[in-house]
Amino acid sequence: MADEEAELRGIFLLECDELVGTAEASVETIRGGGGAEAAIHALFRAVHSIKGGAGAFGLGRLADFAHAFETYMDRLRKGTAPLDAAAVDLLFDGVDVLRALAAEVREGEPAPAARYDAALRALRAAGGLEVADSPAAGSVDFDPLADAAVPVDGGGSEAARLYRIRFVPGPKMIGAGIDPLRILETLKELGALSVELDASRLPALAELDPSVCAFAWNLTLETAAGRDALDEIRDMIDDVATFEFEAAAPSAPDPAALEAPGSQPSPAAPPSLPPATEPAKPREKAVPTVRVDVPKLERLGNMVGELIITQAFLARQVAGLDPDAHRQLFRALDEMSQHIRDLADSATSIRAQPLRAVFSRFGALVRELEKSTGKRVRLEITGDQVEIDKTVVERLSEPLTHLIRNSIDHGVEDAAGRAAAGKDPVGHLHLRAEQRGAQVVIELVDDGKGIDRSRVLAKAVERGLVPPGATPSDQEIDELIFLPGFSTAEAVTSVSGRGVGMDAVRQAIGEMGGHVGLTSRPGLGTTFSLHLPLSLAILDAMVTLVGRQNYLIPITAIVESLRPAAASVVRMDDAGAMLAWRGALLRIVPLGAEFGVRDWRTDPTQCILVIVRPSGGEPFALQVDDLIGQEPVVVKSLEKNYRKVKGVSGATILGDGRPALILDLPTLSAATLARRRLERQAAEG
Amino acid sequence: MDVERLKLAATGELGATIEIKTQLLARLEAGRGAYLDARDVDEPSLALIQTIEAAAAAFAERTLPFGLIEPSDRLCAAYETVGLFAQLMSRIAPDS
Repeated sequence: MADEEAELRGIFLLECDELVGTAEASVETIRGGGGAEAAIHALFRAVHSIKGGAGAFGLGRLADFAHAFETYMDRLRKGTAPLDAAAVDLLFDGVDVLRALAAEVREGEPAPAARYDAALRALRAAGGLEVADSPAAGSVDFDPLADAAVPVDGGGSEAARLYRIRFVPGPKMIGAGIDPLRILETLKELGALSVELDASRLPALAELDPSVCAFAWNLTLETAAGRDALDEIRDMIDDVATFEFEAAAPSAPDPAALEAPGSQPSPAAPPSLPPATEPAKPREKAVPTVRVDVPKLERLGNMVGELIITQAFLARQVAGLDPDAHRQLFRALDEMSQHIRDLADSATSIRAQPLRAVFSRFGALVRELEKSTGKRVRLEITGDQVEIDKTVVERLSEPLTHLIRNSIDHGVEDAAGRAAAGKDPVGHLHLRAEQRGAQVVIELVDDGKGIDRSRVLAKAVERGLVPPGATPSDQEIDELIFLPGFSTAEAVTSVSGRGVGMDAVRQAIGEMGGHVGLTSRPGLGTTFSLHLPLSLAILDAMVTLVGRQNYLIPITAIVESLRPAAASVVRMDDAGAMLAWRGALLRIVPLGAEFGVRDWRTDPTQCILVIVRPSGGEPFALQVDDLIGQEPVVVKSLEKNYRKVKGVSGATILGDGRPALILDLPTLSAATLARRRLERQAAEG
Repeated sequence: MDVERLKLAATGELGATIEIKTQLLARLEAGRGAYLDARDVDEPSLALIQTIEAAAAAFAERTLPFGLIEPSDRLCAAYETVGLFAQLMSRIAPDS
């Protein structure tokens, strides 16, 4: 029973996150001024639902805070409290504390006490509650269900309507701590309730399990409270009971039903809803869920990984057999391969989480930055429903925080600067995500002043990163901001300028197998693009051979592979060998040289060139001795088991049992460029 | 007729209800009637009400005495709420 309650509580906390997100979006709308009335009602409903759920699960601090928040909201929506800038600030504070309190329950990390106390005091004062008699933490004592009687649709003057309700408690309802009696009492408080009990399922005493409700009801309720009040009750017990209702015209009640409290139903006429005169709002059918411990998921992922390795081993073992002579074997292997791929996809999707989990934190961050910088910024978030591996979601918070801080500090101008540039005084920051194939791309777009390239170049020259007089391209200048310790901030502020930002971002994203891209237009703004793999565990790779070593190239990065004609290989003194390809010259990166492999083929014309385009980067050609074939591989951390190696994102075990390195193309590209620059400088003395 | 009094707890929480069910089954098994002293019931529950109703049916089937003694206002209100007020009236023990 404790497990069931914990499971229900977990579900409530998930819903709570969504409700906090709704609340935050509503406050954003209120701040924007458009549709404020609807947003106030939406905010009220979200806070009210949080209060109800928190009370049901005995989450005193959360329930208490939501109660104060809701009371204040009630004054706002009735117009008895002013809706001004101070009110919006208070609403944002309230949402932030709600989020922190939900995290407190979920993760055990206490919400900041000072902030909780201040916001609670402010909300209670603004809501006209006695500040002094704020109940102590965890001591809130109220019936959340009774509170569902609050009319929440803004229709306080709505005429009474008649609702027919079918209420069938499920077997887990009482065990989950929700007494069906309390639901009926709550309905009674909403208006005139007539009750028709179906006791036909009541078993003999010996068979009775008191924790399983054997009763069901057909109810008729005449109430002015509005449909939302019934919606809230339904939402509260959705997982543990059937609660269906529909409205009938007030003029057409069933007098017998209204005047027959306590009557028993006729066995010949099982309780059923009469024909609807106003169908209930269609609801999405909730998908049943189970909670699974993360270690169990990881074990599943590891086992799928082992299966993939075994499959690759089998594929290699049968490679020499005659397919015609072993048709059944090959068919079975094909089928098994497909099943393993499906299994791997399923295992990946189980680990996936919506980006909302991390994106939802940034509203509060932007508001904090607005206060500390004095700039006004509107954060727009889209695509937060996109899902990505849980580990990635958890590790995204820090780099995205860096980027947002950077955009507001360096990118978005202050109000005067924006006015001078003919821009809206409120800066715009757009955080968006979308899935592209096996990748998720997250972009942070600001409409600020863009990168000041002359300043970046001057700083780079000053620090000896670029020789004086050099004329790097715009893209090369933009790339300079990712160098360790690089910062153009004149002063170290609390926001940025400590020189530990963009390189850390690139490193963090690189460690997740991703890549950071950047485009900037002077006066118009900057876009940072994070390209991330959907899964960190399984990768489709091309197995290559260099000397006696295998190197793996992510399939998604490969444009084509070719054996070059001698005429298409151009040798340049300062850039090594180049490949003439589709009207452009591509750098040839010989993997044998990069990794110090023995016995590799040095002549490009005797090798295979694999043209790759790292996410957001320029294409280049990898020189390998041969291609072995395509394989799904299980990515193992090299760093965890050995150390970080530039140009390598991980390792794997191939089907023949040999280890192989997986190439990290963006860092490999950067490393080869850096090495050639050093070689040039050395050659120039 | 051998009738025993059993006192209902102030709260109809699950543990107490299961306990009263066990006691009622024992009386039933022993062929003895039962009167439930319900004057102190302050927080009735659906679990308690359905247990009382199942017991009433079981004792009636064995033609053994069964009833509620001085049901509290809260219990009466709960019976009315679930749609069993008429049944409650018929369960009031003769000496209450």
